[in-house]
Amino acid sequence: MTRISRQSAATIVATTTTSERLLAHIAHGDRGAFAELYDRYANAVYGACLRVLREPHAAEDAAQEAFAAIWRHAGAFDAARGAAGAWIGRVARNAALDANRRRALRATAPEVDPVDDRENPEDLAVAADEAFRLRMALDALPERERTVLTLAYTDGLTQSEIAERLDLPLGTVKTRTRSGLARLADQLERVQ
Amino acid sequence: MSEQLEPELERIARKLAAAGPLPDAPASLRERTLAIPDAAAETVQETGNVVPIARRARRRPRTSILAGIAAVAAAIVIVPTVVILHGGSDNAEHVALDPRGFAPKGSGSASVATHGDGSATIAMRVWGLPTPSAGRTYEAWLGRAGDRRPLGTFSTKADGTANVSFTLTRRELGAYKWLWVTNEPAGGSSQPSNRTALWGSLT
Repeated sequence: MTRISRQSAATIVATTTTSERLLAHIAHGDRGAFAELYDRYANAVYGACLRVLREPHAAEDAAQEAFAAIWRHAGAFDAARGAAGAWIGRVARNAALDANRRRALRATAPEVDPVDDRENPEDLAVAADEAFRLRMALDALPERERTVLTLAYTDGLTQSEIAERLDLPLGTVKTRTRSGLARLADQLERVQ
Repeated sequence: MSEQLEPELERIARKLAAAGPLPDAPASLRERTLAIPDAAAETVQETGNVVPIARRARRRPRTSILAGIAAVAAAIVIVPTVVILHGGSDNAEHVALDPRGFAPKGSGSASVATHGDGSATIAMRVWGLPTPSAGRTYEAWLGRAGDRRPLGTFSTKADGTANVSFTLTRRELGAYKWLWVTNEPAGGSSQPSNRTALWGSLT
């Protein structure tokens, strides 16, 4: 039987960086692990909620709901069944969808929590989940590949512009782009 | 990116571009989130790799504070009265009320003041509002994301003007971000309709 005291948990957290371990310590009430997990996933969780809710205040509330759920239910996470990032992404998606349902139930002034009927929230949630996993996978890439892919597909630079920006041969940029995308595809499978 | 890629890599590239840049979480979210362990009264343990579905709205620290004063709030009388510009305010903020769909020619302003005794006053002056039809009235609201609070109902004069005042506590006032006016059934509503007449943001 493995039992982790709070003191030993803190020691382990200091030397462990996997999100799965952080969740294990959160399940034992480790606030330091909770803070570390927040810093790791805050932008991704908030981004997923914002993608569904499209309103910053509502997204902030939903993100807090997601982290509250993580705090309460970290013990339910089973690393054997999937990656922590994927689990956190689903928690964020569910929090955003719940917030959207509550919002839809209220008769609101249109300026407050505008309900966007143009797209199905479920579709938005699927897209948000996919984007979440993609970002997790991107974060897991070696920095040199992550930088090239970010400049290319987030900032919209051409390969020549990236080569100039990073002072690299064009061929190196092409190589890193290709290897980065291939590694990203592999990472995506892992965080399914 | 002009480089030709294999279909699988091209698909990943398109997804990456569609995902867009990651937004920065608001700084306030960190403080709110790290206060969760303090606010959590219980930890639900489940078995298996279950993704929790947060069906119940969890109280966040800020709302739990509000919940704590709910009993006090219930006793607070919020009665629209004719405004006599109040004196003795320690801190006043002037809020412009802009016209919305129900009253496109309407306008208004509000003086939001906090007082040393822990109370707060919202003195609102409106004009250009259409006369409500039979069985309808105007209602003022305070709100923030996911939370609306009715302030009270009021009537307009024949010329579409009204001067009204509402009293609440400073702590209550501090939680809200918006002030607005809607058209509601006589007697008021517990939730605002989308017949919004005026709208203003509290800073």
